[in-house]
Amino acid sequence: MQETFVAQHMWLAGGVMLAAYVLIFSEWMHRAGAAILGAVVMVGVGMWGGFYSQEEAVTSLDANTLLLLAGMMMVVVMLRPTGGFEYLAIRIAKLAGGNARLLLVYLCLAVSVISMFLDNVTTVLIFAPLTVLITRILRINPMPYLMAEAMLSNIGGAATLVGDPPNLMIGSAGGIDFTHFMLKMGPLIAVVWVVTVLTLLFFFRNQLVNSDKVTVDLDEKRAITDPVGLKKALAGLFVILILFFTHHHFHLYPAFVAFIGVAIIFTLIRPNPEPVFGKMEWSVLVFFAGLFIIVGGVEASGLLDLVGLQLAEIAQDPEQLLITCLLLMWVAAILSAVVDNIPFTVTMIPIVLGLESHGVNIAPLWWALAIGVGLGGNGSHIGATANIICVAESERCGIPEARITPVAWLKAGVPVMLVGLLVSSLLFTAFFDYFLD
Amino acid sequence: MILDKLAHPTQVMRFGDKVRDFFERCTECGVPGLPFVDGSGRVVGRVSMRHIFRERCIPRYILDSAHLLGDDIHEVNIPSQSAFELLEQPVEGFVLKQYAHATPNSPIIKGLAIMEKLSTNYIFIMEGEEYQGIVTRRDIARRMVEATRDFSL
Repeated sequence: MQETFVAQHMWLAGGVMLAAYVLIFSEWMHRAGAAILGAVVMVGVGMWGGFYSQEEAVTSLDANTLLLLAGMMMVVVMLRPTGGFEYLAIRIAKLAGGNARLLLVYLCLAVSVISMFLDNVTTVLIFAPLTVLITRILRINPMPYLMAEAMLSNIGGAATLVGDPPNLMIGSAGGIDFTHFMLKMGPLIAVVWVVTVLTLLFFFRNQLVNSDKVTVDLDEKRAITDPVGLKKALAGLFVILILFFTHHHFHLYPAFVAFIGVAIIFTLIRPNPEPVFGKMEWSVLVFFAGLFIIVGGVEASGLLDLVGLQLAEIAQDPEQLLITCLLLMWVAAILSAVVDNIPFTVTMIPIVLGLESHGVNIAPLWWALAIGVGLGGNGSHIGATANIICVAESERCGIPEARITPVAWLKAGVPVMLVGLLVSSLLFTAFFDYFLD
Repeated sequence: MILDKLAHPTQVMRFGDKVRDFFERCTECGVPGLPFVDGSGRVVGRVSMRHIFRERCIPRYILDSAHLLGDDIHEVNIPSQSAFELLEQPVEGFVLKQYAHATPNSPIIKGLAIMEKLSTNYIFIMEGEEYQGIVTRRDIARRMVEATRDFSL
């Protein structure tokens, strides 16, 4: 009788999660609204079925992830209007001196490095229109640059704990500190970065023709609209970065580190809070919160344990662990290319955590998951928010040859994703021992 | 003081008129926009010079970086061919449904408030559905100067 109830709970919770995910992926309604609806239904069904309570729903919220995301959003919101990003983009364009390939490498390097520590969506939002302007002045097609910026910002974000929302969740769930995350992912991502840039340079070799014009007549000094504010915001960001690298020594949560920086910037700048809070992406935070509650309900029903049990039988065998990791990496990548990688990550986290209780070493699974969701987004134009922004910019600029169609993205994106995954798989296999902790 | 005293009649735009006609009429009347009327003569919207320039002449990527532009950016300037094509476009493709309007008896403060609220420099004066003329901020400023000169404000 008890088993029947458990099975019913699993069906109920699984059904609610499936319905919520269909609603999210169909885009019939905004994903934040779909997540709220799913969370409310999950709690309601859980209370009715007796397997999930309101208290459990609240505790299923990963506060470290949500607060870290919110804190870093605040930093970006206060940094953005100072004009620092624009300054950097123009300086880079001038440094390339009209060399089309060099310009691509420099811009990609800039967006990648920024995306390692700050929100890559904001980075691309600022860099994309400036890239179009710079390339038009240099009489070059902006299309390869826009695609490269989106792809390399995704790759850059995969290298650190704070570079990509799935990494925040993985790090939080796995208790992985910033330095450890970067030490494990950084070298692999650096190799993938180089290979990806070379792939893109080869793929777009006919369009990356050097310009006869070498002057980009844009005044970077006018870009910085608030030099004092920029210095203060960078000071706060500097403290955050230092603490990110050392937070495990002081037993500080990454979220608390982010808020230390926010507190410093707030104290130094004393901004009007309304614009700061108004520009934050609340819908993203609500979306994440909703997903945590939905997955919390499925976990409480016992369904994820059941899935974990099946996987544990394979992963318990040390020889099969590598295969399991590679399978997870590729499945995560392919799914991330087609649908939002956040729901997949949120769902996978409790499954991976559950494997630990069955004696499986889950450390390599975290890295495999992070690599998969990080690189998979490059496969299609809808695979990552940065891609969508660059595609929209290519359409909005009104330059026919710059337009990135879904097919155009697939032609470059699929090879880039596959090359990235192949390189990652090879490195992961060759240095598997390195990824065991 | 009421807006009726300041309103000056202008031509209106209709289906089939081109952007070229619109620009000519605007420059003749010295106004930045004109009403757009349907077949029955009823005002159904407005055509705005600023809107046309923003929509067709200034790409977003230039607008965002306007404060950074130097003078040696001829590669992104408006080509003559594009300007010609724009002038031959039918004006109905640029009609904005929202327009500022007031009655002839509206006081100046109401006109200014509506213009400010709708971020526009001009307001149509309408008696019911009948278009009577246009009042610009410049008209109001000029009238203020004139009125204070002879102390009749």
